[in-house]
Amino acid sequence: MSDGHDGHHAHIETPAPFLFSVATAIMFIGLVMATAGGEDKTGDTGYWFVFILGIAGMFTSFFMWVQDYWPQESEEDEHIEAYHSYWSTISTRKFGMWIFLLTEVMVFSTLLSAYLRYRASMPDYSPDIDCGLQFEDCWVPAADVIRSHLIWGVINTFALLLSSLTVVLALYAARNNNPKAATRYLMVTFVLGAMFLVLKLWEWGEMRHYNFWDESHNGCDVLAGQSIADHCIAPKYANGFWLDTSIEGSTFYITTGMHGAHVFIGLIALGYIIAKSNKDAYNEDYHETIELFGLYWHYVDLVWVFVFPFFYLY
Amino acid sequence: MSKEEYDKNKEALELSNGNEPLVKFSELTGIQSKLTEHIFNSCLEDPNGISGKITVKELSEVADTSAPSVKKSVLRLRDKNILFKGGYKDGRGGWTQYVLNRIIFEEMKLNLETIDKSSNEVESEPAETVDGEINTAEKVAATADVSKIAVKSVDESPAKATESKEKDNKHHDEHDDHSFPNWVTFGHTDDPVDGFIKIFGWLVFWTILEVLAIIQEFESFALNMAVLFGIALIKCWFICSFFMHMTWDPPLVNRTAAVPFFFLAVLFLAVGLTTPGAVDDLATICGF
Repeated sequence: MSDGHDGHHAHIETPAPFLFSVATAIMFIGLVMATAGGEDKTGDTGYWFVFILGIAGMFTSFFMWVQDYWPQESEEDEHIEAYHSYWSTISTRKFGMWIFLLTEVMVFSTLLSAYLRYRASMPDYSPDIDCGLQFEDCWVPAADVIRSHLIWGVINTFALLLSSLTVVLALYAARNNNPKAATRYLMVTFVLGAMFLVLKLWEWGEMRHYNFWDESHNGCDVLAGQSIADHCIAPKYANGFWLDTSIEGSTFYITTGMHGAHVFIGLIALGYIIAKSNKDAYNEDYHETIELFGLYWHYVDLVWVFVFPFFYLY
Repeated sequence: MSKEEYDKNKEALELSNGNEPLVKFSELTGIQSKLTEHIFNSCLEDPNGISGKITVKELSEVADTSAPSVKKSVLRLRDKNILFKGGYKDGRGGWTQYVLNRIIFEEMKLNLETIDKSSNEVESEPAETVDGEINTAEKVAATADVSKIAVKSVDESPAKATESKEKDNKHHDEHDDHSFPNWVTFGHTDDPVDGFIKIFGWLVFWTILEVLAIIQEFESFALNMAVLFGIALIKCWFICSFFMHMTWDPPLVNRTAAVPFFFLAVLFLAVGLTTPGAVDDLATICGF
């Protein structure tokens, strides 16, 4: 927000966020056209150049953005505060973060409701109904693929919950003028977030290549009448479970992938905050940046609270 | 004051002369009143009426409140044309110089002189004989009290004025307070960190329950949904209320967060959980 009282400040007027948005749009246009564009809709490889151009623009504008804030001792600045008494019960930055989170709520709600919609359109697999030879007419959820290795999903859930706690502890350490402890808690958060992503990628790899079961699939033969509940695998997943395997795969990877992308972006932001915290930037007076990051991180945790039961348990 | 420093405050000085304040000093209450008094004292010491370099921490101590509250109050004062911001340094260790609106400055100065006069004429002046003169801050505080009582006696009863002040203070106390419901923390705790660790404990507990419940593999779709949604909503409540601070945040946050619920209801009830035919039926109904 510009400040009519005191003139303007360079860091508020930075074009970086705008450029970042434009570059992101270019990147997505490039990605979509390169993978699904062209006359036959199988992708126009020329658009990979547009994609790379977008990525380059994103990097450039991101570093422009960081560069604007990095030399400041704090990101907080009263020039960007709201003026109306009702809105000024919280800072403009915090209000902006909440608005951003609301848009994020809509993103994940769309994904989850799409999942439920697709799921409601097919009967769940049961030995009592005719699901077709490959079980193509029934919904065989990702949870069935994961079930025997559910422990990793549970560990990831605890990791995210714990990382939410460590963000809160980092904020309190900063508020108590203990920047060293704040940095340590933030680093723990980073490690937990990174661990989440590594486990998730490993899990994806295992599912994609169908490595969760041995060659004999635990001796289980679903076509011979054994139940999927006994961790047999559906014939349609015999070559692995991936994005294009089935609608179950699409919904699972898109939703968990989108969540993972949010964790990844959170880690980038966290890297910046850790670096700033390491030079004692956050203290009793200036700690709102950690609070705002915390809101985002808790939100990512919140999304997982819904993703986990719907994709890993049921 | 050096010429360079004077130049930094020149614009604020011009604004302080050319703008009408939206309220009188006597109409200010609470933190805003305390901050104005403090800045006035500082301005008195400068022949140009420019305050010294004032930090947020200094103002927090004067007003006995948090730094964000101070920042908000300063912004409100500026919005009311009472304060004008002069030279400043951003970030940690930062400071700001202020100039009071000339009309407000004169009003406060006049009140100060009135107090001076009355204290010379009426009081036995023990403080003056000891210190030589009454402390400026005390004088201003007395001025504020006198003028405020006068205004309040016209507008509202003193009891009501006290009540509104208490309400104002309570608002700030609530904002900084991190008390947890006793049932959440298994008894009273004054340590927020202890409280947050217990919240984490609750989340772990519900996660374990969720996994155990689903391993039972209930036959009923409705029961599965009830268990999954139910536990997810409980966990959601714990995270939003405590980790995301919504219990202690002002109503603005909760009201803002409530906005997407309508869309969520539409998405989940009208799209997510309906039968596949619902959309086609809708199209038929609408004549598509």
